[in-house]
Amino acid sequence: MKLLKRFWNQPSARYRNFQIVFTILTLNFAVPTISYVFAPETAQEQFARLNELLGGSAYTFPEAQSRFWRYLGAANVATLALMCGLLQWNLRRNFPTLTPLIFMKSLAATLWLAGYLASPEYPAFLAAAALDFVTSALFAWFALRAHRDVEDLNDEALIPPPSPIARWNEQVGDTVLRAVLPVEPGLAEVARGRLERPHGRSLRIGFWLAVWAISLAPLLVEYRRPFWRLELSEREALIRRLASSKSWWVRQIIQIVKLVACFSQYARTTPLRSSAP
Amino acid sequence: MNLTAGSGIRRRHHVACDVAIVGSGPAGATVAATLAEAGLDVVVVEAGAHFEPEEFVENSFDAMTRLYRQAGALVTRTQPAIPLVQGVAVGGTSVINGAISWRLPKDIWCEWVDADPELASVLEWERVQAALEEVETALGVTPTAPAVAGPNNTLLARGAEALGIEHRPIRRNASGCLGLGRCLQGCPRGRKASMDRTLLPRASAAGARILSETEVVRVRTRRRSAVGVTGRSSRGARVEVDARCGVVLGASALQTPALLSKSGIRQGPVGDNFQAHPGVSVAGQFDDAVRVWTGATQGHEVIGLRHEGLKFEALGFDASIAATRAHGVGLELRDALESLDRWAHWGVCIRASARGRVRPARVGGLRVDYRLSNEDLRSIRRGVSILGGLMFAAGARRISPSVYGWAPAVTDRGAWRDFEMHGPLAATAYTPVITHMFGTCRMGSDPAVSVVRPDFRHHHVDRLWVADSSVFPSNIGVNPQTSICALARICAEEILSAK
Repeated sequence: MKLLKRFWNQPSARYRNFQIVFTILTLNFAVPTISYVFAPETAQEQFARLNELLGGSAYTFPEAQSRFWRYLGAANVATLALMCGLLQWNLRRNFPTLTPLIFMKSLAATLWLAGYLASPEYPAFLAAAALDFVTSALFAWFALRAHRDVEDLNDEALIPPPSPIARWNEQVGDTVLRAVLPVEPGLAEVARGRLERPHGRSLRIGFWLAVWAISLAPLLVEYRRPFWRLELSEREALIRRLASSKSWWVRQIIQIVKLVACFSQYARTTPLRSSAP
Repeated sequence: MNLTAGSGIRRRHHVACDVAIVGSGPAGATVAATLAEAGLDVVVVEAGAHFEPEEFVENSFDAMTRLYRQAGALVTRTQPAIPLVQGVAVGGTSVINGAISWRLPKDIWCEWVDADPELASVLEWERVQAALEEVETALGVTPTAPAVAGPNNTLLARGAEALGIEHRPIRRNASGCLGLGRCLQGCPRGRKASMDRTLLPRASAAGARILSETEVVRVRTRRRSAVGVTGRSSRGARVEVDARCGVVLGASALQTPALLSKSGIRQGPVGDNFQAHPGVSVAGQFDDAVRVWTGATQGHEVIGLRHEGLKFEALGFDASIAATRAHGVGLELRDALESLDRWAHWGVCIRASARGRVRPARVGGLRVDYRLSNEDLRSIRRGVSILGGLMFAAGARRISPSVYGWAPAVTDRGAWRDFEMHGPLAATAYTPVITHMFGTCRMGSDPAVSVVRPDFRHHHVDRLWVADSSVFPSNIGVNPQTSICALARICAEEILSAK
């Protein structure tokens, strides 16, 4: 309930609305992906019934027998679901996805409309065209308005935050770095910037492996909780214990994190000196 | 410089020349300057980027992620994993080394010639001396001036003097050194005579072209003769360099054998006989400020035990590296950083007897198998013991040997004497680093045990020469840059005479 309240009262109502609408749309595309593949007759029945309700002729095309179009249709809606999901995941970074998303849905609407004009006895085509045009408009309306707000807001202000797993990963990294070198502000952001450089790949892999090894280490000893759930004193005690482990590998894991922590600390502070002795 | 950056090469790029040189470090730059000045059309292909002095930053994190191969995370595959430090920039490792200059010792030359007398036909002692002389002149090698030495170096001198071990200011190719202590991050004032400041501009002035940010992936051969190299620009474009007279490899004792193997040139013990100088360090806390990040980076050395394969040097580096050497984690580490400026750092470089091997890894990169021998571990233990003794003799209040299984901080000089007898002999107790590498394409007259002939030509592939430290028959116990340049110069002379 607390989380829902925070979500509802977040600074950007547009971002909140975007998340709600796109969640519905993502599900709206994800569910048919399954039904198109495994229960095509359901979709066909729904379409035929709609056509009948709108006063059209009986729709007798054997769509459910098709494999070819069925699979293409399933791939299409899966792609739409993926694109909606990507926008929800990180609207700022994945914003370029919006254009192909609107293009695909608008094109589908246009084709439905063309189908209706060619065969007016099937008004369900017109209904589908209208639905897809409205959906395209929803894409544009909610995503564009939310994007404008997101541009001006910090990640911390957004609920859910952009790239939640990446952010969580960074928070885990920050927790471990703080335990090895307790300084404020944390070092994870400095480390991330440097490790993302091309030459930093090996060190980056080593660092994140070390971070996760440390994060999960408490589960193997007496704590039975991951590192980020430990009390501060427990974290420090565990880090000290790992640093003096008999195992060379364990000591190296701490050494990698210590190296990145020290490097990050001095990468952001004012130079200690710049003149000759 | 006449330089084309690979970051600007987006489409297939083709270059023709007389000689293609792989690598722009000490070996590649020396060969390039010598051949270009003799009138040959030379193209140097370098994986790293070119940097102007003002682009070099102070903090090690930025420096390592821009200038060091794999940001310093290239390690041996055996336990303990030992970091292998190499530069990746125009100028190679000379951009980020301590600028230490040593002539090839006579005893090492005698070892080489005794083991294979045919080496003397090309590497006559007088010829080697003449080449060393020329290199020293070109690089402006001079002893470290007292004015820029700084406390870290002068304390080492004091300790050695007190113990009566021979010592001296290090001869360096940094004649206008300002003592900024930033050699390992690249000299921001351009005072270090690294290859990008000396021999490469000379080569370029004589017409040589440099292709930076282009990684050579294959040496091309036709009918057992090298005809060029194929590379890939940092933008992913294919780069072809056709070489009318041949190809010279100067990519280091790690990259050269890997490149030969990847090119299918696997005859002989290519990649075997990997030798190195593992180094370990000890830190000592003094009453007064030392500030290892000031003064000549490595300005003083203790040479009295070189006959034992031990050479001691002051180690100056950025505060971040000094911080990683501070003892402890958590609050203990944070508190230790408060007194960082009072710690001196000195290292010992071991002429190790261990032999390893270098192979291209299955998935990119390299696989370096290298395990220290028991003899090496005894040398390391003795080296650490002497370093501690030097620290106490210089007035250290306490030392931090960084040896697992031993007290993290030692304040009792008497207790420290036990270390040489009872210190651990497990490789995993120490944290060595390798900066000097040799022998993976060793030269010799017998193709069964060597990769190149005494005149640097490949035994089995015509018009292919190897000029870097991979041709050294053994490690040399001293800093190799000047010797690499000298032998590369002789290699270039041999290429000219063969032409």
